[in-house]
Amino acid sequence: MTFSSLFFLYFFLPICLICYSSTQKLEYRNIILVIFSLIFYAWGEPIWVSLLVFSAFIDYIHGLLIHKFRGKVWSKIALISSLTINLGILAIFKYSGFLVTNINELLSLNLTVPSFKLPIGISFYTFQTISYTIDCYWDKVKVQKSFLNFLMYVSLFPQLVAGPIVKYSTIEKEITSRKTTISDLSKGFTRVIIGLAKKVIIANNLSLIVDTILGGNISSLSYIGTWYGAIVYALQVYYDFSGYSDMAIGLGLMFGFHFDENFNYPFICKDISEFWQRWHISLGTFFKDYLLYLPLFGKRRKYASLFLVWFCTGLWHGASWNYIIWGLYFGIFVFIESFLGKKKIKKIPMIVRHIYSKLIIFIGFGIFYFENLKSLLNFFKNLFFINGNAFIDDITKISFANNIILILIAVVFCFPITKFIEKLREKSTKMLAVLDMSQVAVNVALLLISSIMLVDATNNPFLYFRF
Amino acid sequence: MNNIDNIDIPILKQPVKKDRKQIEKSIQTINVIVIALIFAAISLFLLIGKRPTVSKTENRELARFPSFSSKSFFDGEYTANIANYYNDTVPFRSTFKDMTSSLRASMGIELDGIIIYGNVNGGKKDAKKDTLSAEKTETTPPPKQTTDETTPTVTDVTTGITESSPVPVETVPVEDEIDDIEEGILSGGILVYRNRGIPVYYGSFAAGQNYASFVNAYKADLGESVNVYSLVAPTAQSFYMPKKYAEKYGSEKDNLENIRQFLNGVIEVDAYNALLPHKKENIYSRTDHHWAPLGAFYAAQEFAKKANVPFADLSTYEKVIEPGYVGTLYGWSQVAALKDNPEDFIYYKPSNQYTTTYYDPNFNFDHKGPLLIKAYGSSLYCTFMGSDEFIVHVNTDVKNGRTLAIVKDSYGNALVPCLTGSFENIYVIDMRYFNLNAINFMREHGVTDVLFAMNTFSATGGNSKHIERIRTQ
Repeated sequence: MTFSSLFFLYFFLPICLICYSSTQKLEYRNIILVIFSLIFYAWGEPIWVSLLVFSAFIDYIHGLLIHKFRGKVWSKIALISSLTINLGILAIFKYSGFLVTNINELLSLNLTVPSFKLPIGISFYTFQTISYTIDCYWDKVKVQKSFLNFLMYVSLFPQLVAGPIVKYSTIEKEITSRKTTISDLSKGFTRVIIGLAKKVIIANNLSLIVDTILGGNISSLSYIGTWYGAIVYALQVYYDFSGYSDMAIGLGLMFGFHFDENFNYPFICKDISEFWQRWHISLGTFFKDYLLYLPLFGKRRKYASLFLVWFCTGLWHGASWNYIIWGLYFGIFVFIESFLGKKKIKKIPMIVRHIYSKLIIFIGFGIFYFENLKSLLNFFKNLFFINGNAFIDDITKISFANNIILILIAVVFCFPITKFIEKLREKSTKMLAVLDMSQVAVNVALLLISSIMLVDATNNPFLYFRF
Repeated sequence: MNNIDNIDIPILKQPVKKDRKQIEKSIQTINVIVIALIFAAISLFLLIGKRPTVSKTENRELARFPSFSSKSFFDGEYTANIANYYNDTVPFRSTFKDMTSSLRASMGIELDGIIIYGNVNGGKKDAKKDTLSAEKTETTPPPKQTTDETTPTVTDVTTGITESSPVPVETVPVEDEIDDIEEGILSGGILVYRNRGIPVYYGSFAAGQNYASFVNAYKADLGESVNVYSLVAPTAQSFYMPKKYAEKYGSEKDNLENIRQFLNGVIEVDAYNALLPHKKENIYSRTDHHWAPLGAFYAAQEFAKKANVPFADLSTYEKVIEPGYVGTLYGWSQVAALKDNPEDFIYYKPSNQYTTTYYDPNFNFDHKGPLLIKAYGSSLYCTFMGSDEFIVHVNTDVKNGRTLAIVKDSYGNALVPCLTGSFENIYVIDMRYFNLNAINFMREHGVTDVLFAMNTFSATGGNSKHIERIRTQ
């Protein structure tokens, strides 16, 4: 089930909200959320819902063991056992096919390549449960003694299938003590509608451009066409993924949960390190908290662990070399920036830093798009004007003209417009009233337009569903 | 003064803060109420509104509520199909789709009078388009004629030239590079040029060779007493795509020439050159992927010449005009320019006497009825026999002993009324739905002429495999 579907918005969600608000008792509300979350997941994965419950149960038990044997060697064993099981499940379902294919090629073997269907959201919920057991081990969070409550944390449908990766510590208190205020509900509705509009009005229509430009024969695409396709694709992924995150955060608010932000206007960054502090923040935070500072390579080997993080970031996105290259590609630039140091970077003129960061990002998304290495090579040749193709082609011109307003809207809303509006709100009470009422009108318009456009979008899964 | 200040400030500030909070809360309450009401209204509308079953503009049946089975449940199909049914069958679906197309049209401007929809830059990632260059022509010579005694020989009834017809060569398996246009999916896109939708064609010489080998096999099976013809119809791209864009895509002309090289014992009906002189007439629909009935008429005329059968003049037909036609290209592309510029659907009723009998795909009698039925809206092309599934038998007042079997996609439908004055019996078989062995069927019904009639997308795309399927099943 996808958030951007009429079935979810106008059937599943209203029933869930009605049931949720039919009781004030938090225990019952948690039970209702677990039931609806499991239905939500089972709707797409009727078999692998069992894996989700199993994964939650394993980590629940391990949490108890870590707590019981705190300070003893058994506590460490429980942690290692939990990590082994979680990462083992992920490895089997997500990476076994990729691993065996590469072993076959490297050693000229003919081993049977496993072909598991990737359970939806496994990359997200596995990381969430890992965050719990590690934090438990580090005594950063209290052990959760109720399996129902823990299952609710793992399966909570707003963030279950495509993030953000909500750390247990973020909602630890709200699991047992929360209430939905009118302010939360209002902000939640607004956030859901903005996320929906980002996905349906902007990302889905940008995807038509990407399909037109990059979906065809890349070897004969013009240079400008290739740059245009790469930029539009970067915008599409941003609006698609941040739209989902907005909806997840908004739905969380409706049920009284306050998730951390997952995006913070990534395209206004001035360097790649900053980009990753603004893009998919929850994944970066996870790696930073649990991988970067692990004493894996010793203190003097911070660059080695930095590359490990970027290798894992790439691999997390998919079991394919292009994702690993994509991760390492960004890792190289973060490494260079870290090597140069912030002081030296700040001396570089702002405009140069902006151009540099945008170039690296747009090329990076090209790597993300082309899973086929041959196509990726052609993409690079086009980007660097060495394919002997035309400078610009008519299809690119027509596509740009056909979508110029959409592209303008997409570019403008990459800037922190809402922060500017927030400042205006502070100026006077009158301004506050005008702007907040305008927001209501905008919400109505966006909801209606998105719903109408959804009628023509029978199948429009979010891009990050595949991870 | 200082004292007054100290007293006043808190008194003045507090109401402002309170005021702000009050206003904020009131507007938040309004927001929640308004949005909740909209959610409730749309939910109710979707729950109790009458759900459509067919989309005429898209030329397809909409999703049906799935039937339950444990297998479909456990593999996730059942639940996915429920959501799909809910999303696909929205009440007033076509109205909302029209609104979407208007919204999309407002997202930009036309350049050169052109709007593009979907992938018009290439059929598949890194796929190569096949065109006949001078080099290519030299390296793909026509198949050699064989004098092997074991191969049957046939006489072309039109030219009187005897040709050998070797046992068909092994087919070249190719991936379906062009998705099935008839089933409403275009792997390529649609280019709208001056209010005319043009599906973009990418040919495949290998697929064309396959097609030729499939129809050659019919000739080999049916022997010299039966004439086999191949009429591969070009689409609007061949005549209406602006030249500078046409060069980027597959050339239907080159692909037709490629097919011709591999036909063996099969008589080619050159629809492309028959239509070319008439390109300024209404031979292709602007809003639909089919040709217009007049285009089919000129192609049928060419076929009649090759088959050496009589052919009624256009003046003998009754001309029928159905205004306000907006066909499938709008439904598929949702380009508002097509919807906003409807066209006339003009077809011709033959004047001679004939009866039409409809059979199911297993040739069980279904009903007797008119050949040209009353169709509406975006389905006006269904004027010809209603739909593709039926096997149709037309018995005419022509007494020349000739029985024609048309093996076709929907392009072939419009040929049938043009041939009621040319053959005594006509059997219309849609290769996609036919459930019997085609060779046995043709023999049992005394077929003297077999016409393969389909568009280039079918001949060099996925549909051509059905030609072989119905021969061998």
